[in-house]
Amino acid sequence: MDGNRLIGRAGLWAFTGLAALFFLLPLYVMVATSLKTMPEVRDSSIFALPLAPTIGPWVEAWSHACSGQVCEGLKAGFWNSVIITVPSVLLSVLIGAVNGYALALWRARFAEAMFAIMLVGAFIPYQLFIYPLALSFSAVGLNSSLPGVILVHVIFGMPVTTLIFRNFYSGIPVDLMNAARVDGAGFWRIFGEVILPMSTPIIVVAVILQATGIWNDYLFGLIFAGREHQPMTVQLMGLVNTRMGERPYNVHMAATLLTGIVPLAIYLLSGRWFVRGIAAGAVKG
Amino acid sequence: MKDFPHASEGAAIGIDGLGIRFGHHDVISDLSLDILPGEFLVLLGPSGCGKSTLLNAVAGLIDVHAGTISISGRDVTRAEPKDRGIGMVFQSYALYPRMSVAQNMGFGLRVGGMAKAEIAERVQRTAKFLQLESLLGRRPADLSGGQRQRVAIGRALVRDAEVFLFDEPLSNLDAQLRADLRVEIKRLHQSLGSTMLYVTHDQVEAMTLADRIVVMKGGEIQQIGAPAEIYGRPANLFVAGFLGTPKMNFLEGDVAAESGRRMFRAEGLRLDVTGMLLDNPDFAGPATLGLRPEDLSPAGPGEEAPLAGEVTLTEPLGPETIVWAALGAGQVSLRMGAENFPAPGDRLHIRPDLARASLFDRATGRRL
Ligand SMILES: Nc1ncnc2c1ncn2[C@@H]1O[C@H](COP(=O)(O)OP(=O)(O)OP(=O)(O)O)[C@@H](O)[C@H]1O
Ligand SMILES: [Mg+2]
Repeated sequence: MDGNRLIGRAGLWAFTGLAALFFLLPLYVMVATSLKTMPEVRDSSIFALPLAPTIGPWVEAWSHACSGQVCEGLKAGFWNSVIITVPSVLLSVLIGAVNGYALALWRARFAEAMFAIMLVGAFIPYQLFIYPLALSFSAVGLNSSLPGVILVHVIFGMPVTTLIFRNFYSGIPVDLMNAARVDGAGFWRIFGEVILPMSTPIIVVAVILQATGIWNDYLFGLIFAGREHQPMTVQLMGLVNTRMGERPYNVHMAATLLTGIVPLAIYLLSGRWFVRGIAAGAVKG
Repeated sequence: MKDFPHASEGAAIGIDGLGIRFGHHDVISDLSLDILPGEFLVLLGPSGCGKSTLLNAVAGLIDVHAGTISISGRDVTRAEPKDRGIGMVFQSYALYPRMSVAQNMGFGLRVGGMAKAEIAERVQRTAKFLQLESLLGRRPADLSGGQRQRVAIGRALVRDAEVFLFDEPLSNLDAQLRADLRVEIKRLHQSLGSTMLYVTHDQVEAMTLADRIVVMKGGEIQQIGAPAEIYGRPANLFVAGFLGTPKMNFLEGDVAAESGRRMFRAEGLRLDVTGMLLDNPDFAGPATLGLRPEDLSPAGPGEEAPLAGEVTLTEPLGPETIVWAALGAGQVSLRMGAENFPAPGDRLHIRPDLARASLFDRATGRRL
């Protein structure tokens, strides 16, 4: 290797190293701080390793920390997030799959127009819809309820899931549909028995996208879920903003990490599938 | 291949005044065609001429905007594909990728609500017939191209259809497999006796399989007839040029009456074509003479030879040799034996077999 290339290499490594540091350092600070006691947080540098690591702040964040007047930690919020996310993801992915299937594989009347409208829906900032939507929801009694917030997630998730599935299904040869029609199968039968079984890679992609998006949502949860069903993100906000004397940074760090653990786990566990799904065509063999 | 215990005989298909339109583009207009029960009819034509469109219309997969289609005398113009008594085999096989071979074959029966035991029995019987028994548990991805196509044929076969529709079923296979499966399909037809409508742009497939060939171009039928008739008496210049490799030789000139005899005259060439049987014997004017390569032969010493030219190229093919020669009126090819063919540069005297020649009106392209 000659000198120039060596220098190039070194530069490259230095740059990637710095970039990694830039992202890892805050994470390190958060993890380290969440494992310290408050006196230690006060006295040591934020970069110092915890001298006597403790999981106390995590326990505190999970079950005792105060968010406003309520001091029950984040666990209620965690379960709220679960019961909001699971049905929202299932419904928005299923509806997206059916929509994509109908748009790509059945020459539905006005399919192009419907798809165009949906694309617009996918790219208009949804903040624009919030006020009219909140008004309509309270008019029909859906405001501040679990079905209400799930419905909002499904509605706003649908354009993207439809887009994903439509693109995937466009790669399916027309002959496959024709063969199934000659065999006598109808819309739902073809969907359920021929198309859906071929869709695993793209279902994984859609589930990951929707699950992380809905779990991380703050705005819809704040506006549409009501006090009973506040998701974890909203509770975290309350927890961090509750002031009673000194700020318990260690607990805040632990609470934040707890909130982020689910999307992080989804990415780590399914990363391989995710890439495969994005790269995969519809038909193999 | 043993006889397949088949429940139904072939059905007649009637197509009358058919019109198919995509958007504002008429792909087929006013097409009529009668297919006899048990007939093997091949639709032949260049890419984009509407063969698949016609086949899909018979299958009920696309909407028809004019005309009627009947199968077994029953009007099925608006019927669902499943209610037409058809089985169909597609170019891309179109097997269901997540189902086993057995499930692929049994799907249509299951959709039709047949009892499990009977489905299993029929699948087994068909698999045996097509020698697919050892593959029944496999997925399509684990099969070779030829095996996939046999499964696709099996899927059409289990349903005891009266009519089988094939859309270029062999065009994704290599030459050897294509030849093998071609023979299998022919045997299949012989033992089933069902009506078969077969789309291809491969003239060898058309010639070997068909009872009758329908040659199409631009959505219109050019000629319908037995393979020998299509090959020997093409109805127009398009059909004449489309069938046969190497192509039919065309010599451009004109036809005129000279002292009671009919003469074909071209550059450096005068042929007495009085003996040719023409539908239009009084024709005079610009014409094209068509001669198949096998209807030209080298003249021996002393024989009369109206054509003469220089050999430009030879293509030895094994059993025969194609010899190309430049005449005054253009390039021609001759089909000659495997041995004793002339070399490039040789002077060649050629005798045409005028009894087998074709004459076309150059203005309309139609056979005279
Ligand atoms: N769904 C469609 N929409 C618009 N035009 C179409 C459609 N399907 C076919 N066509 C047009 O109709 C004509 C006939 O197509 P068709 O597929 O029947 O040709 P083909 O004879 O089967 O050709 P090939 O040998 O290439 O399969 C073509 O010009 C094609 O562009
Ligand atoms: Mg075609």
